[in-house]
Amino acid sequence: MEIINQSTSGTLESSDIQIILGPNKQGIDIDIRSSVQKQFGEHIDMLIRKILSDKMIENAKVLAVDNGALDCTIQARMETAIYRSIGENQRVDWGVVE
Amino acid sequence: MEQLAVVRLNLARKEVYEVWKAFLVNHGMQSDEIVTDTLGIYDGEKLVATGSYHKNIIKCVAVDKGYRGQCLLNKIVNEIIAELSQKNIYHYFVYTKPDVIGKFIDFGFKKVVCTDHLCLLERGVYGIEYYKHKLKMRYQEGHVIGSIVMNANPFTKGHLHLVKYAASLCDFVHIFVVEEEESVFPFSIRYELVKQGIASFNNVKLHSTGNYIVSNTTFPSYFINKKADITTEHARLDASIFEHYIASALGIKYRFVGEEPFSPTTKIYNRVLKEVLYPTVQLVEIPRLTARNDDIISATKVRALIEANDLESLENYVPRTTLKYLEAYKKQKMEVNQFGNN
Repeated sequence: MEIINQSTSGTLESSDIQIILGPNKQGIDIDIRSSVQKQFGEHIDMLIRKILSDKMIENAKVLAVDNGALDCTIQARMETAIYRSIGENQRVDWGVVE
Repeated sequence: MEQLAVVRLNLARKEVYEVWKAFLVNHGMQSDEIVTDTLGIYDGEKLVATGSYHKNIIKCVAVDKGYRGQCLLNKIVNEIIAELSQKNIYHYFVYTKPDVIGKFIDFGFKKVVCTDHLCLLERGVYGIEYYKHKLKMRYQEGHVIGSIVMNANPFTKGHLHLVKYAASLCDFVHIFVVEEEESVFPFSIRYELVKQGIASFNNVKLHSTGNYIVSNTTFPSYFINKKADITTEHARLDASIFEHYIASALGIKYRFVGEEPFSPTTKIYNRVLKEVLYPTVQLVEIPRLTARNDDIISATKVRALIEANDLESLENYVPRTTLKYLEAYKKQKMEVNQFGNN
Protein backbone atom coordinates (compact mmCIF):
# COMPACT_ATOMS: atom_id res chain seq x y z
CA MET A 1 0.00 0.00 0.00
CA GLU A 2 1.03 3.57 -0.52
CA ILE A 3 0.31 6.56 1.70
CA ILE A 4 -1.17 9.22 -0.57
CA ASN A 5 -2.56 11.87 1.74
CA GLN A 6 -2.38 12.92 5.37
CA SER A 7 -4.74 11.50 7.92
CA THR A 8 -5.27 11.29 11.63
CA SER A 9 -6.90 8.87 14.04
CA GLY A 10 -7.33 8.48 17.78
CA THR A 11 -7.60 11.04 20.56
CA LEU A 12 -5.54 12.57 23.35
CA GLU A 13 -7.61 10.79 25.99
CA SER A 14 -5.93 8.61 28.58
CA SER A 15 -5.27 5.04 27.31
CA ASP A 16 -5.49 6.20 23.70
CA ILE A 17 -2.94 7.09 21.05
CA GLN A 18 -3.31 9.79 18.40
CA ILE A 19 -1.68 9.17 15.04
CA ILE A 20 -0.90 11.62 12.26
CA LEU A 21 0.20 9.85 9.12
CA GLY A 22 1.54 11.35 5.91
CA PRO A 23 3.45 10.49 2.73
CA ASN A 24 7.25 10.40 2.80
CA LYS A 25 9.78 10.45 -0.04
CA GLN A 26 11.90 7.68 1.34
CA GLY A 27 11.66 5.44 4.37
CA ILE A 28 9.69 5.43 7.57
CA ASP A 29 10.07 8.41 9.93
CA ILE A 30 8.42 7.94 13.30
CA ASP A 31 8.14 10.59 15.99
CA ILE A 32 6.72 9.35 19.29
CA ARG A 33 5.59 11.44 22.24
CA SER A 34 4.45 9.15 25.04
CA SER A 35 3.60 9.49 28.71
CA VAL A 36 5.42 6.17 29.10
CA GLN A 37 8.24 7.00 26.68
CA LYS A 38 11.00 5.61 28.89
CA GLN A 39 9.26 2.30 29.52
CA PHE A 40 7.57 1.67 26.19
CA GLY A 41 8.84 4.23 23.65
CA GLU A 42 10.95 1.67 21.83
CA HIS A 43 8.20 -0.94 21.93
CA ILE A 44 5.68 1.48 20.38
CA ASP A 45 8.20 2.37 17.67
CA MET A 46 8.72 -1.32 16.82
CA LEU A 47 4.99 -2.01 16.85
CA ILE A 48 4.25 0.88 14.47
CA ARG A 49 7.00 -0.29 12.12
CA LYS A 50 5.61 -3.82 12.16
CA ILE A 51 2.06 -2.64 11.38
CA LEU A 52 3.37 -0.56 8.46
CA SER A 53 5.47 -3.40 7.09
CA ASP A 54 2.53 -5.85 7.42
CA LYS A 55 0.66 -3.51 5.10
CA MET A 56 3.66 -3.35 2.74
CA ILE A 57 4.10 0.36 3.41
CA GLU A 58 7.69 1.44 2.80
CA ASN A 59 7.41 5.22 2.93
CA ALA A 60 5.57 7.12 5.63
CA LYS A 61 5.85 9.89 8.18
CA VAL A 62 4.23 9.14 11.53
CA LEU A 63 3.59 11.33 14.54
CA ALA A 64 2.28 9.34 17.50
CA VAL A 65 1.07 11.01 20.69
CA ASP A 66 0.51 8.26 23.21
CA ASN A 67 -1.20 8.39 26.57
CA GLY A 68 -0.65 4.82 27.62
CA ALA A 69 -2.48 2.93 24.85
CA LEU A 70 -2.49 -0.87 24.81
CA ASP A 71 -1.02 -2.66 21.79
CA CYS A 72 -4.46 -3.52 20.39
CA THR A 73 -5.41 0.17 20.55
CA ILE A 74 -2.21 1.16 18.76
CA GLN A 75 -2.92 -1.48 16.11
CA ALA A 76 -6.50 -0.22 15.61
CA ARG A 77 -5.51 3.46 15.46
CA MET A 78 -2.70 2.77 13.02
CA GLU A 79 -4.92 0.75 10.71
CA THR A 80 -7.57 3.45 10.73
CA ALA A 81 -4.99 6.11 9.88
CA ILE A 82 -3.57 3.93 7.10
CA TYR A 83 -6.97 3.25 5.51
CA ARG A 84 -7.77 6.95 5.69
CA SER A 85 -4.60 7.95 3.90
CA ILE A 86 -4.37 5.54 0.99
CA GLY A 87 -6.71 7.50 -1.28
CA GLU A 88 -9.67 6.56 -3.45
CA ASN A 89 -7.94 4.23 -5.89
CA GLN A 90 -6.80 1.73 -3.23
CA ARG A 91 -10.25 1.28 -1.68
CA VAL A 92 -10.40 -1.41 0.94
CA ASP A 93 -12.89 -4.22 0.78
CA TRP A 94 -14.06 -4.12 4.39
CA GLY A 95 -15.73 -7.51 4.06
CA VAL A 96 -12.39 -9.27 3.76
CA VAL A 97 -10.15 -7.15 6.00
CA GLU A 98 -8.69 -9.41 8.66
CA MET B 1 -18.31 13.76 39.43
CA GLU B 2 -20.37 14.70 36.44
CA GLN B 3 -18.47 14.86 33.15
CA LEU B 4 -18.24 18.36 31.67
CA ALA B 5 -18.83 18.49 27.94
CA VAL B 6 -17.22 20.61 25.25
CA VAL B 7 -19.69 22.91 23.50
CA ARG B 8 -19.45 25.46 20.70
CA LEU B 9 -19.60 29.11 21.78
CA ASN B 10 -21.63 31.39 19.58
CA LEU B 11 -19.64 34.61 19.87
CA ALA B 12 -22.11 36.42 17.64
CA ARG B 13 -24.36 36.50 20.70
CA LYS B 14 -23.34 39.48 22.76
CA GLU B 15 -23.86 37.90 26.19
CA VAL B 16 -21.73 34.87 25.21
CA TYR B 17 -19.06 37.11 23.72
CA GLU B 18 -18.86 39.34 26.82
CA VAL B 19 -18.39 36.36 29.14
CA TRP B 20 -15.74 34.84 26.85
CA LYS B 21 -13.87 38.13 26.55
CA ALA B 22 -13.88 38.69 30.32
CA PHE B 23 -12.64 35.13 30.83
CA LEU B 24 -9.68 35.68 28.50
CA VAL B 25 -8.77 39.04 30.02
CA ASN B 26 -8.90 37.35 33.44
CA HIS B 27 -6.30 34.89 32.20
CA GLY B 28 -4.04 37.64 30.89
CA MET B 29 -4.88 37.24 27.20
CA GLN B 30 -5.89 39.49 24.35
CA SER B 31 -9.41 39.09 23.10
CA ASP B 32 -9.01 41.12 19.91
CA GLU B 33 -7.72 38.05 18.08
CA ILE B 34 -9.44 36.91 14.94
CA VAL B 35 -11.09 33.57 15.62
CA THR B 36 -13.47 31.63 13.42
CA ASP B 37 -14.47 28.85 15.79
CA THR B 38 -14.57 28.86 19.56
CA LEU B 39 -15.20 25.94 21.88
CA GLY B 40 -15.79 26.01 25.59
CA ILE B 41 -16.68 23.99 28.66
CA TYR B 42 -19.34 25.15 31.11
CA ASP B 43 -19.85 24.02 34.67
CA GLY B 44 -23.51 24.84 35.05
CA GLU B 45 -23.71 28.46 33.89
CA LYS B 46 -20.04 29.17 34.45
CA LEU B 47 -17.48 29.17 31.62
CA VAL B 48 -14.48 27.20 32.92
CA ALA B 49 -12.38 26.50 29.81
CA THR B 50 -12.13 27.76 26.25
CA GLY B 51 -10.09 27.46 23.09
CA SER B 52 -10.42 28.88 19.57
CA TYR B 53 -8.94 28.53 16.13
CA HIS B 54 -8.63 30.48 12.93
CA LYS B 55 -7.53 28.57 9.83
CA ASN B 56 -4.63 26.41 11.09
CA ILE B 57 -3.88 28.43 14.22
CA ILE B 58 -5.11 27.46 17.66
CA LYS B 59 -5.34 30.36 20.07
CA CYS B 60 -7.10 31.92 23.07
CA VAL B 61 -6.79 28.67 25.03
CA ALA B 62 -7.44 29.07 28.76
CA VAL B 63 -8.65 26.96 31.69
CA ASP B 64 -10.05 28.26 34.97
CA LYS B 65 -7.47 27.83 37.76
CA GLY B 66 -9.99 26.06 40.01
CA TYR B 67 -10.55 23.38 37.36
CA ARG B 68 -6.95 22.42 36.60
CA GLY B 69 -6.13 18.74 36.92
CA GLN B 70 -9.41 17.66 35.33
CA CYS B 71 -8.03 17.32 31.81
CA LEU B 72 -10.21 20.18 30.56
CA LEU B 73 -7.32 21.42 28.44
CA ASN B 74 -7.05 17.93 26.94
CA LYS B 75 -10.72 17.97 26.06
CA ILE B 76 -10.58 21.38 24.41
CA VAL B 77 -7.42 20.69 22.40
CA ASN B 78 -8.69 17.22 21.48
CA GLU B 79 -11.92 18.66 20.10
CA ILE B 80 -10.12 21.41 18.18
CA ILE B 81 -7.74 18.86 16.63
CA ALA B 82 -10.70 16.65 15.66
CA GLU B 83 -12.44 19.59 13.98
CA LEU B 84 -9.26 20.59 12.13
CA SER B 85 -8.80 17.01 10.88
CA GLN B 86 -12.33 17.07 9.52
CA LYS B 87 -11.27 20.11 7.50
CA ASN B 88 -8.25 18.14 6.28
CA ILE B 89 -5.87 20.31 8.29
CA TYR B 90 -3.13 18.13 9.77
CA HIS B 91 -0.50 20.77 10.42
CA TYR B 92 -1.40 23.41 12.95
CA PHE B 93 0.12 26.01 15.20
CA VAL B 94 -0.52 27.32 18.65
CA TYR B 95 0.45 30.62 20.22
CA THR B 96 0.94 30.43 23.94
CA LYS B 97 2.90 31.87 26.83
CA PRO B 98 6.34 30.37 27.53
CA ASP B 99 5.34 29.09 30.99
CA VAL B 100 2.62 26.76 29.69
CA ILE B 101 4.29 25.18 26.67
CA GLY B 102 4.91 21.95 28.61
CA LYS B 103 1.28 20.93 28.30
CA PHE B 104 1.30 21.39 24.56
CA ILE B 105 4.54 19.50 24.20
CA ASP B 106 2.77 16.56 25.89
CA PHE B 107 0.09 16.84 23.19
CA GLY B 108 2.76 16.32 20.53
CA PHE B 109 3.44 19.95 19.68
CA LYS B 110 6.97 21.09 18.97
CA LYS B 111 8.52 24.44 19.77
CA VAL B 112 9.25 26.53 16.70
CA VAL B 113 10.52 29.65 18.46
CA CYS B 114 10.01 31.53 21.71
CA THR B 115 10.48 35.15 22.63
CA ASP B 116 10.32 36.36 26.24
CA HIS B 117 6.54 36.67 26.15
CA LEU B 118 5.29 34.46 23.36
CA CYS B 119 5.87 30.98 22.00
CA LEU B 120 4.92 29.48 18.69
CA LEU B 121 4.47 25.72 18.59
CA GLU B 122 3.40 23.44 15.77
CA ARG B 123 2.15 19.92 15.32
CA GLY B 124 2.23 17.84 12.18
CA VAL B 125 4.42 15.44 10.26
CA TYR B 126 5.89 18.16 8.02
CA GLY B 127 7.14 20.77 10.45
CA ILE B 128 9.70 23.51 10.18
CA GLU B 129 12.58 21.03 10.21
CA TYR B 130 11.11 19.54 7.04
CA TYR B 131 10.86 23.01 5.44
CA LYS B 132 14.47 23.65 6.43
CA HIS B 133 15.51 20.31 4.99
CA LYS B 134 13.82 21.16 1.68
CA LEU B 135 15.49 24.60 1.63
CA LYS B 136 18.90 23.01 2.27
CA MET B 137 18.55 21.06 -0.96
CA ARG B 138 18.37 24.42 -2.77
CA TYR B 139 21.59 25.67 -1.17
CA GLN B 140 23.87 27.73 -3.44
CA GLU B 141 27.63 28.07 -3.07
CA GLY B 142 29.06 31.56 -2.58
CA HIS B 143 30.73 33.88 -0.10
CA VAL B 144 28.11 36.59 -0.01
CA ILE B 145 24.58 35.19 0.11
CA GLY B 146 21.70 37.66 0.21
CA SER B 147 17.96 37.36 0.56
CA ILE B 148 14.79 39.33 -0.08
CA VAL B 149 11.30 38.61 1.20
CA MET B 150 8.52 40.21 -0.79
CA ASN B 151 4.76 40.04 -1.01
CA ALA B 152 4.96 41.62 -4.50
CA ASN B 153 1.31 42.59 -4.68
CA PRO B 154 2.06 43.14 -7.57
CA PHE B 155 5.76 43.17 -8.62
CA THR B 156 6.85 46.82 -9.19
CA LYS B 157 9.91 48.67 -10.45
CA GLY B 158 10.71 49.14 -6.76
CA HIS B 159 10.97 45.38 -6.26
CA LEU B 160 13.03 45.07 -9.42
CA HIS B 161 15.36 47.80 -8.16
CA LEU B 162 15.82 45.94 -4.86
CA VAL B 163 16.61 42.68 -6.67
CA LYS B 164 19.05 44.44 -9.01
CA TYR B 165 20.82 46.10 -6.07
CA ALA B 166 21.09 42.86 -4.08
CA ALA B 167 22.15 40.79 -7.10
CA SER B 168 24.94 43.26 -7.92
CA LEU B 169 26.39 43.00 -4.38
CA CYS B 170 25.94 39.30 -3.68
CA ASP B 171 27.21 36.08 -5.18
CA PHE B 172 23.71 34.73 -4.88
CA VAL B 173 20.31 36.07 -3.80
CA HIS B 174 17.39 33.97 -2.50
CA ILE B 175 14.04 35.62 -3.09
CA PHE B 176 11.03 34.53 -1.06
CA VAL B 177 7.52 35.34 -2.20
CA VAL B 178 4.95 35.45 0.59
CA GLU B 179 2.62 32.50 0.11
CA GLU B 180 -0.23 33.67 2.32
CA GLU B 181 -3.42 34.36 0.37
CA GLU B 182 -4.42 37.64 1.97
CA SER B 183 -3.54 39.98 -0.90
CA VAL B 184 -5.37 41.47 -3.89
CA PHE B 185 -3.37 39.28 -6.28
CA PRO B 186 -3.30 35.55 -5.60
CA PHE B 187 0.01 33.86 -4.78
CA SER B 188 0.29 32.10 -8.16
CA ILE B 189 0.06 35.43 -10.03
CA ARG B 190 2.41 37.27 -7.66
CA TYR B 191 4.95 34.44 -7.93
CA GLU B 192 4.68 34.30 -11.71
CA LEU B 193 5.16 38.08 -12.09
CA VAL B 194 8.26 38.00 -9.88
CA LYS B 195 9.57 35.07 -11.91
CA GLN B 196 9.10 36.93 -15.19
CA GLY B 197 10.48 40.16 -13.72
CA ILE B 198 13.74 38.57 -12.55
CA ALA B 199 14.25 36.20 -15.48
CA SER B 200 17.34 38.11 -16.70
CA PHE B 201 19.33 37.59 -13.48
CA ASN B 202 21.42 34.43 -13.29
CA ASN B 203 22.34 34.61 -9.60
CA VAL B 204 18.91 34.65 -8.03
CA LYS B 205 16.53 31.86 -7.04
CA LEU B 206 12.85 32.05 -6.21
CA HIS B 207 11.24 30.31 -3.22
CA SER B 208 7.86 30.36 -1.56
CA THR B 209 7.68 31.21 2.13
CA GLY B 210 5.42 28.37 3.27
CA ASN B 211 3.99 29.01 6.70
CA TYR B 212 7.20 30.39 8.01
CA ILE B 213 7.99 33.93 6.81
CA VAL B 214 5.52 36.81 7.06
CA SER B 215 2.57 34.45 7.13
CA ASN B 216 -0.63 34.60 9.11
CA THR B 217 1.13 32.14 11.38
CA THR B 218 4.40 33.91 12.04
CA PHE B 219 3.43 37.52 11.54
CA PRO B 220 -0.32 38.01 11.77
CA SER B 221 0.11 41.76 12.36
CA TYR B 222 1.11 42.18 8.73
CA PHE B 223 -2.41 41.29 7.70
CA ILE B 224 -4.38 42.77 10.58
CA ASN B 225 -3.55 46.10 12.21
CA LYS B 226 -2.51 45.53 15.78
CA LYS B 227 -1.19 47.50 18.70
CA ALA B 228 2.50 48.31 18.44
CA ASP B 229 3.64 46.03 21.28
CA ILE B 230 1.92 42.98 19.77
CA THR B 231 3.33 43.81 16.35
CA THR B 232 6.81 43.98 17.90
CA GLU B 233 6.34 40.58 19.53
CA HIS B 234 5.12 39.00 16.30
CA ALA B 235 8.00 40.58 14.40
CA ARG B 236 10.45 39.07 16.92
CA LEU B 237 9.01 35.61 16.30
CA ASP B 238 9.14 36.00 12.55
CA ALA B 239 12.71 37.31 12.67
CA SER B 240 13.95 34.49 14.91
CA ILE B 241 12.45 31.90 12.60
CA PHE B 242 14.26 33.53 9.71
CA GLU B 243 17.53 33.52 11.63
CA HIS B 244 17.31 29.99 13.07
CA TYR B 245 15.85 28.03 10.22
CA ILE B 246 16.00 29.89 6.94
CA ALA B 247 19.23 31.88 7.05
CA SER B 248 21.06 28.90 8.55
CA ALA B 249 19.77 26.49 5.88
CA LEU B 250 20.92 28.66 2.98
CA GLY B 251 23.90 30.42 4.55
CA ILE B 252 22.23 33.80 4.19
CA LYS B 253 24.34 36.72 5.44
CA TYR B 254 22.31 39.69 4.21
CA ARG B 255 18.66 40.54 3.98
CA PHE B 256 17.63 43.44 1.78
CA VAL B 257 14.54 45.55 2.43
CA GLY B 258 13.19 48.78 1.01
CA GLU B 259 12.94 51.71 3.42
CA GLU B 260 9.41 52.03 4.67
CA PRO B 261 7.97 55.54 4.33
CA PHE B 262 4.29 54.74 4.93
CA SER B 263 3.23 51.65 6.85
CA PRO B 264 3.90 51.80 10.63
CA THR B 265 3.66 47.99 10.80
CA THR B 266 6.40 47.47 8.23
CA LYS B 267 8.49 50.16 9.93
CA ILE B 268 8.32 48.23 13.22
CA TYR B 269 8.99 44.98 11.37
CA ASN B 270 12.15 46.36 9.73
CA ARG B 271 13.42 47.78 13.02
CA VAL B 272 12.90 44.50 14.91
CA LEU B 273 14.35 42.50 12.03
CA LYS B 274 17.53 44.55 12.24
CA GLU B 275 17.84 44.00 16.02
CA VAL B 276 17.09 40.29 16.03
CA LEU B 277 19.04 39.22 12.96
CA TYR B 278 22.26 41.01 13.93
CA PRO B 279 25.00 39.74 13.86
CA THR B 280 24.04 36.50 12.03
CA VAL B 281 22.35 38.34 9.21
CA GLN B 282 22.83 42.00 8.36
CA LEU B 283 19.80 43.99 7.37
CA VAL B 284 20.41 46.30 4.43
CA GLU B 285 17.82 49.04 3.97
CA ILE B 286 17.85 50.84 0.68
CA PRO B 287 15.91 54.01 -0.18
CA ARG B 288 12.77 53.56 -2.20
CA LEU B 289 12.94 54.13 -5.92
CA THR B 290 10.98 57.11 -7.19
CA ALA B 291 9.02 57.40 -10.42
CA ARG B 292 9.68 60.19 -12.94
CA ASN B 293 7.43 62.60 -11.06
CA ASP B 294 9.39 62.01 -7.82
CA ASP B 295 6.60 59.88 -6.46
CA ILE B 296 7.77 56.93 -4.33
CA ILE B 297 7.06 53.60 -6.02
CA SER B 298 5.01 51.21 -3.92
CA ALA B 299 2.65 48.34 -4.59
CA THR B 300 -0.03 50.29 -2.69
CA LYS B 301 0.28 53.11 -5.24
CA VAL B 302 0.13 50.62 -8.09
CA ARG B 303 -3.06 49.08 -6.75
CA ALA B 304 -4.58 52.57 -6.43
CA LEU B 305 -3.75 53.28 -10.10
CA ILE B 306 -5.30 49.98 -11.15
CA GLU B 307 -8.39 50.85 -9.15
CA ALA B 308 -8.52 54.27 -10.87
CA ASN B 309 -8.03 52.57 -14.24
CA ASP B 310 -4.97 54.73 -14.94
CA LEU B 311 -2.97 52.26 -17.04
CA GLU B 312 -0.91 55.02 -18.71
CA SER B 313 0.67 56.13 -15.44
CA LEU B 314 1.31 52.53 -14.39
CA GLU B 315 4.16 52.36 -16.89
CA ASN B 316 6.19 54.54 -14.50
CA TYR B 317 5.70 52.15 -11.62
CA VAL B 318 5.83 48.60 -12.90
CA PRO B 319 8.20 46.71 -15.21
CA ARG B 320 7.04 45.63 -18.69
CA THR B 321 6.28 42.08 -17.57
CA THR B 322 3.85 43.21 -14.88
CA LEU B 323 2.33 45.85 -17.17
CA LYS B 324 1.60 43.23 -19.79
CA TYR B 325 -0.24 41.13 -17.27
CA LEU B 326 -2.19 44.09 -15.89
CA GLU B 327 -3.33 45.13 -19.37
CA ALA B 328 -4.58 41.64 -20.09
CA TYR B 329 -6.20 41.57 -16.65
CA LYS B 330 -8.00 44.87 -17.34
CA LYS B 331 -9.16 43.74 -20.76
CA GLN B 332 -10.55 40.56 -19.33
CA LYS B 333 -12.31 42.51 -16.61
CA MET B 334 -13.87 44.88 -19.16
CA GLU B 335 -15.12 41.97 -21.22
CA VAL B 336 -16.69 40.50 -18.14
CA ASN B 337 -18.32 43.85 -17.38
CA GLN B 338 -19.66 44.20 -20.92
CA PHE B 339 -21.01 40.72 -20.78
CA GLY B 340 -22.65 41.59 -17.50
CA ASN B 341 -24.29 44.70 -19.02
CA ASN B 342 -25.82 42.75 -21.86
